[in-house]
Amino acid sequence: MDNLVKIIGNVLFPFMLVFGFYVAFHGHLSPGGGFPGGVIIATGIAILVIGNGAAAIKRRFRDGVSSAVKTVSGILLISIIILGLFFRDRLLSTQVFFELWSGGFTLLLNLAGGIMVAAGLGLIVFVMTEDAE
Amino acid sequence: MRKLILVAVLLLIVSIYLLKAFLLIPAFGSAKQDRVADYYVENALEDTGSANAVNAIVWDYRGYDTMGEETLLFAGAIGLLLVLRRD
Repeated sequence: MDNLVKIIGNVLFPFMLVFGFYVAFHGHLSPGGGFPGGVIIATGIAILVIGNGAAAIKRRFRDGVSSAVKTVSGILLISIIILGLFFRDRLLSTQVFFELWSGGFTLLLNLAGGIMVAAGLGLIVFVMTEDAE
Repeated sequence: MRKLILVAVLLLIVSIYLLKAFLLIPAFGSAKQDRVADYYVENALEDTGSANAVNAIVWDYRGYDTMGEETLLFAGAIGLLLVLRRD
């Protein structure tokens, strides 16, 4: 791909990563949440793949790692939901509204869901760009 | 032929219930049955601790729906992996 896309993508990627995690982390305080945050992270991965080519990126992030992250975060999500049945009220009673550490277990679910969406869409990007070289 | 009659009877039954449900819809612009939305707006902060009401609905009140949604995404990724991966 063009050099411009490559350089700008490489510069932009860490900021997109941070911003995606920011959106996922502040989902209970501001518009956004797990899904948009994960999609922003996956878009960063897609921009890296467009700029550098799938082969160069896959040397860094192998997609085995991506599917492992996806599986682990899915298990995490389901276990947070099951644990939330028991610990929700206790979690709520220790928190101050509108602080970063609030939101009951929506904060934890936003994080787990964001990681899961990012890993899933990243895996999709990897699979779909594999033969494009 | 028997299958056709069976399908016709089933369709009739389903359409009767659909029609009944359709007649229950409030007239345009006068939705009085919207109590759950008011409940969410008034009680989301105390119930879930989340200042963002949309997030409270998606991840707390409707948490199981969202879990199913994530599972769909997972299944989509796995399906794509199965279809497009050669080895």
